[in-house]
Amino acid sequence: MTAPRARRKGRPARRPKLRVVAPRRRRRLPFLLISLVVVGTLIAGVASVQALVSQSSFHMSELSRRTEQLRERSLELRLKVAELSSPRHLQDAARRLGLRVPAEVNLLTVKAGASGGARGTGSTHDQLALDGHVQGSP
Amino acid sequence: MTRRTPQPPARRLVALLAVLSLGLGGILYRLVVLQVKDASAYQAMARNELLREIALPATRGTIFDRNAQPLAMSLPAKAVFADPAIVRNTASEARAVASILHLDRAEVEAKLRPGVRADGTAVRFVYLARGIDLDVAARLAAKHLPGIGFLAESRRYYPGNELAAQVLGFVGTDGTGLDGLESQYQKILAGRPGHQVVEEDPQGVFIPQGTNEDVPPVPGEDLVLTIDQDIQYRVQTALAQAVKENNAKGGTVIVMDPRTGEILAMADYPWFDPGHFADYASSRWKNGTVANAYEPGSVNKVITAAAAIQDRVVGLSQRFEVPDHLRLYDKVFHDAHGHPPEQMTLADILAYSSNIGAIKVAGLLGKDRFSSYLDRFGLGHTTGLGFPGESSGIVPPPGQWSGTSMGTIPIGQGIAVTPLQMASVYATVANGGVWVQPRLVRGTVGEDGRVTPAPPPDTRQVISAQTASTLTRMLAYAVEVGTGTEAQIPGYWVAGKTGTALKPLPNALGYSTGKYVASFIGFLPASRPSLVIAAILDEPSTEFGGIAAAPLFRQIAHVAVARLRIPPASKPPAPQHAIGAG
Repeated sequence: MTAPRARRKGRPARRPKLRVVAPRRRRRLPFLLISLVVVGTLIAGVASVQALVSQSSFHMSELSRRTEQLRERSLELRLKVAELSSPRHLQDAARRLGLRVPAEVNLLTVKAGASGGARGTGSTHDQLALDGHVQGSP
Repeated sequence: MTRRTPQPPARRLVALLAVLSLGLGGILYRLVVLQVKDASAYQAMARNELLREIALPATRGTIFDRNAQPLAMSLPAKAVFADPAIVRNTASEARAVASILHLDRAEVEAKLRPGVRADGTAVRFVYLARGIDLDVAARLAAKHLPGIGFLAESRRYYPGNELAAQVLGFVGTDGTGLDGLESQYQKILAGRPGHQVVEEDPQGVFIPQGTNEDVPPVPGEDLVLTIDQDIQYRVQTALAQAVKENNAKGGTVIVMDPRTGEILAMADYPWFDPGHFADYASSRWKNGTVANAYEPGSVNKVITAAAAIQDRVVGLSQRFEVPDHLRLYDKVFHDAHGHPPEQMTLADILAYSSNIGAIKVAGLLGKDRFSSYLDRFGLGHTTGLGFPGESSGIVPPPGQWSGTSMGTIPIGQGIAVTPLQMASVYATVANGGVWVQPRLVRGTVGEDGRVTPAPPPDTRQVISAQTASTLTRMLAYAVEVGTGTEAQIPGYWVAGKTGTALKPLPNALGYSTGKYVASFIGFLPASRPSLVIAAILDEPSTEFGGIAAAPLFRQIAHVAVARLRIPPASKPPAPQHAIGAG
């Protein structure tokens, strides 16, 4: 009950005039655009990565297949080399070229200090020991 | 008339509720069955639809000779199979399969026809061919024949065909070693198979990033042998020629290094092609060098002489009066050729291969002492090579010897040995009296190229180095002037001994007439031996070892010394001899 009384005594307080303020407009468009771009980019990125991974997988699969093929080819070639270098094949090839297996093994005697080179000995036992290889009798 | 508000009939509602409840209950039950009870089964079915397990066979190890030349190797191949239940047009598919795989069309067609097993179930798998080359399989696969499938496997190749066939052995259609080293080293060569699980779409196209379980196969280890491919080939060529020239039934040759026990060549004629082993009689598969036991004949006299020298029961200059025949209990023994009684030293007895002289020397030893030397030299025991089917030979214990055994065994009759055992006896003499376990494998090579050498061979001193040296001089003398002159090699001093043994009858009751095993076993150079060669011919027309087998020895020795670049060594001093000494 004291307040009205006091107001009455003093000058009434002036209230500021109220005015209608326009609501602050938030700009949504850039945010939406950015969001769309980001999301779109992400989706495109993920899709691209997926595509790349898939492509790489196919590529890897193809390379594995190719590696296996080459490994098989390498083994086939190794077999071919083994067959071609087998003694029978070499002997047949040599025969076709007119070569033949020597009937005798000729030994060469090299005498220490000799300057006349080597000479074939055939069957002379006493001359057959190669210098430096002669071993004492048991 | 008052109009009654229509009320839903309670019964109908109840009925509807019941029907709905039942329907929902059924759906719920089915849901539980699908999602809980049979979930794993359906999951497995779905997985089976999508996933494919591919068996990855392990590559079998290669077998190399001592110079890294492949003697046996494996290549990937395909097995072709059929599911007759899926085959659509039996006749046309059979025609295509038979034409590409070079099979009999009627046989293929019979396999493609739907069949029923003994238990009443339909036949869903039948092999059409095994070990098919990849390019041939690819040509067949390109035809996309329904019901025809392929399995990965490998095929064994032997580039040298018959080269060392009985040593290598062979593998079966499933790649398992069945004989020879292929069988002995199956675990090492085979490796461990792997598998791959991949996800595929219904069209069979691989789905990347799908399930991809990969257990790679572990390839088998490679085997490096002691065999020299070139020497082996020349040995087989010479042996086949010798068998033909001597009209022999067969023959055996072993070439080994006495210092290491390494076998450089091992052949037993007739042989076979291990790549087509089924086309040959099974008797040819056997490695006779270790599996056949034969009566060695006079080559066994080296043991008699070694025992006599080692135990000093005879002096080196001691002369024996040797007639051309000798009665021992109820049996009369003869020398190969008739002669008046002669004075012979131990060297003469060996050089001229006197049966009577050897029996007299063995008599001085006694059967227990002589038997112990047979045992020490390894007769009656396997060599430790571990080869499948290796025979230990037959050497009866002294307790079972008869009165005439001291007449037969010292001259190599009445016992049976393998050619490898006898070659090892001579290798022991050549190696200063030390027996070295023969071996065929130098080591293994792993996938990473790591070489694991074979364990060192067992060794044992059988006779002293002095005894071995004395014996070597006697054996060299036998080749210089005795029965082994055909084994002489110009430039090299050869030590060796001939052997001619009558073949026992199959029923073991006596000996055949006119059927001999002729052999020559020796080493060179006599003063520094690095090569032992055993040459044995079965039933040659020229019975004597010195005539039939010694030339074969010489021919092989020629090749081996040239191939191995063995330098000559000095002539060993002649032993004390009486014949021709004046």
